[in-house]
Amino acid sequence: MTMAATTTGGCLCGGVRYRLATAPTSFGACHCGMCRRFTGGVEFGIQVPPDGITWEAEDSLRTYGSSAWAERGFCCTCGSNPFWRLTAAGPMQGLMSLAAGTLDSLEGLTFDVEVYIDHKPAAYAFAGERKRMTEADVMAMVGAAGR
Amino acid sequence: MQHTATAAGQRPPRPGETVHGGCNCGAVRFEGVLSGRGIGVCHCRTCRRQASGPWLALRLTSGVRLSREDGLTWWRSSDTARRGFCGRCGAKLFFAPDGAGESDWAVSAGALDADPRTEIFEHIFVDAAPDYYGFTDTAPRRTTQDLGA
Repeated sequence: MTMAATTTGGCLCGGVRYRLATAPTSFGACHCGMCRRFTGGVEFGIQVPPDGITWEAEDSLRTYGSSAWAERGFCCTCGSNPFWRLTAAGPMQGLMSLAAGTLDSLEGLTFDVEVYIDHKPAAYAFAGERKRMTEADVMAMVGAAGR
Repeated sequence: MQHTATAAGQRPPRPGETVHGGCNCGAVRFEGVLSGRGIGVCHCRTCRRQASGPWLALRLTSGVRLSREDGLTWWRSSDTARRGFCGRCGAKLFFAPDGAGESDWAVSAGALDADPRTEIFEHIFVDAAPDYYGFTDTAPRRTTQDLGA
């Protein structure tokens, strides 16, 4: 049984609110050091294409250029971390990893991939089997898409 | 200014040692003595909405000593606690319950420069966790009722 996830979400204080064009069905975790600093835990993200999201409130949304090819969005009032977004030119530009926890409902989502698994500290691990990709695997995938 | 987590070859810190940490942009930097208690994982709805997923936190027995705090921003998340983050890069850093000792805050495990050699000692608010993820460790699982919250 799969219940449809919601298409709406936002930060803790409501300064950032959005609506998705399509209800998500899955999410992935990123274990890289920058995501772990950004979120304080592990980043749980839903892939959203550039035209897949409409911002309904964004007064407190700020972005930080965290590398030469990506930026991170956060709420400057409550510190929620709504997204990581690819800024580098190419066919994947604008692709967003939207923070799963910001969705108003998480019913029906499946956990289907873990990336930067080689950066995961030994202190925690997620149960279950799913696709697990190293940094090199991710770079090869992004490089292949860019050709 | 970039601070990469766990630089290659950096020895994992142990309990009782001084650890350093901060946000991604460097506008908040701190240090303190690592507690031996390990990592607590919070599954509450507030943590998961703020941090995208469960929050991993640890304590510093010395409290948090800030060496740079120009980016530090606080948000009152409930009647009983505040949450500290970097207002420049958005990194989630601290949870400060009212009435706790000066700077005796829970600290994001991911904010440390080097990942400590430690384990998870408890999961809290597990009744608020969705069923789409689970951890492999066997640390105690505490519900809202267990916590008297």
